[in-house]
Amino acid sequence: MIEVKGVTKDYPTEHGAHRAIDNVSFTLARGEKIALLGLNGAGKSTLIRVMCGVELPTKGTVKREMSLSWPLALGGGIHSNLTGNDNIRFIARIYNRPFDEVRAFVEDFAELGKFLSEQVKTYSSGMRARLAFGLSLAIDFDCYVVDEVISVGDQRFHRRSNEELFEKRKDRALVMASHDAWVVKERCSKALVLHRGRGKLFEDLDLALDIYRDL
Amino acid sequence: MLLDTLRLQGRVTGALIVRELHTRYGRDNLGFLWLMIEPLIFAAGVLFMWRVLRGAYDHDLPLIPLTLFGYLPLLLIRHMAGHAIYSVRDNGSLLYHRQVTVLSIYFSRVAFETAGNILAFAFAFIVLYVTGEMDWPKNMPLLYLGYFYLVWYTAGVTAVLMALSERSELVEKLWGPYSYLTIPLSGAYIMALWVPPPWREWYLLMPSVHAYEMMRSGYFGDILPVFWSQAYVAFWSAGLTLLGLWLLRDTQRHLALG
Repeated sequence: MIEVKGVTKDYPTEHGAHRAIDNVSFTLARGEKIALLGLNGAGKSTLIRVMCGVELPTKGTVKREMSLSWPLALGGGIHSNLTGNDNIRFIARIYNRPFDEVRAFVEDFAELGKFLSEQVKTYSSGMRARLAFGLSLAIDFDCYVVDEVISVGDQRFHRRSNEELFEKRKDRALVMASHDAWVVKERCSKALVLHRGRGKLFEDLDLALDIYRDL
Repeated sequence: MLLDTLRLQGRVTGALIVRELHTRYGRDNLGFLWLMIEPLIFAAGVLFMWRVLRGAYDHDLPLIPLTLFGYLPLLLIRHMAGHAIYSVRDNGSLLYHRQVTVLSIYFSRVAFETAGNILAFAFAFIVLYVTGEMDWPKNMPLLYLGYFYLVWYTAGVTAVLMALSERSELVEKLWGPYSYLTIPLSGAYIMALWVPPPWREWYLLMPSVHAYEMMRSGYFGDILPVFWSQAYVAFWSAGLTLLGLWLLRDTQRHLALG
């Protein structure tokens, strides 16, 4: 289980502190899938980073009783001055997984071919997304935290990541920031609508999507 | 539990060191050699110029060991402390992995630069010893001890710089002039003996002077009076390290990685 309790995060700005998320709480059981809905700047990515322990909350607590992936976002997690292979090596090492296995999986999933021996900074955003996503699937977490990274990929990547995430790993939990109403309705069991840092939890996904559309 | 944590942190630090090697020196094996050759090229150039400009002896002491014992620690300071500035934000993408912490970045940086400097030191010494430019040190333990304090003091400065540079850009601006201005004050090239007495006490306020004096004394033996207090340099090294680690602990709270 993951328990986010009263989490608030402030960032310093030129004109005083900016409250990016304000007293947000929710829980996530094993296998449960939650959508994060909100406009740009509503606090989705901040909530995700705090939840994953990348940043510390200003107030509140996060309890993690299952293994969480790192936030799968466009930036972060992958070092752009390293080659794809060296990133694989680094991540296999820190998550204590055999390099060959991880590499074989990523090679098959990400379809980067010879680009694996190029620096990641030469990749397109779709290629980066494939590498990051492939890596996290290879590591195998109880809960995947996806920050809109799938949406940059093409049709094929969508299909393959949905297959990996929702069919082969049905039993895993998922936190997903998404603007895709279909994915939210079909795949998630609840939604947290974020607006200006405040969050409200809905079990009724149609209601959540209606509210999100009216924001 | 504690053992698991240690093992994990050891693995993370190791992975960070390998990553640093790859980003800094490239993937090919020759790249790694630069770790040792780079300082030696610098040192050789400096030695050549000093020789041309000033003759082979300085105050009746052999010039080559004198400059080498000043130059290599100076390189350590420049690399370890200089590269520490903004190293947390530069590694921000790695902090996405929860087991990578600001402290593991710090420890990997200290270990990486120290190992590189020791390799460079050993390599330079062997080359110069075999060619007859240097003698075997008179008091090896004292030489090691002096070097140990230099590394520790530098590691302390590194921690403070690493933490403060994430809080204020002023740190980066000031570090440039500070690091150059303190070259003559650091003790690297100037023996405390050469500084006339009323000024010597001021000179000895600089903690690194004591460590350099220990190293010189370790190499040259008791042929010249040296001035050092182990307690003084230990006090400063420990103080800076504790302050730096305390500041670093708090860094992740100030960080915006988005």
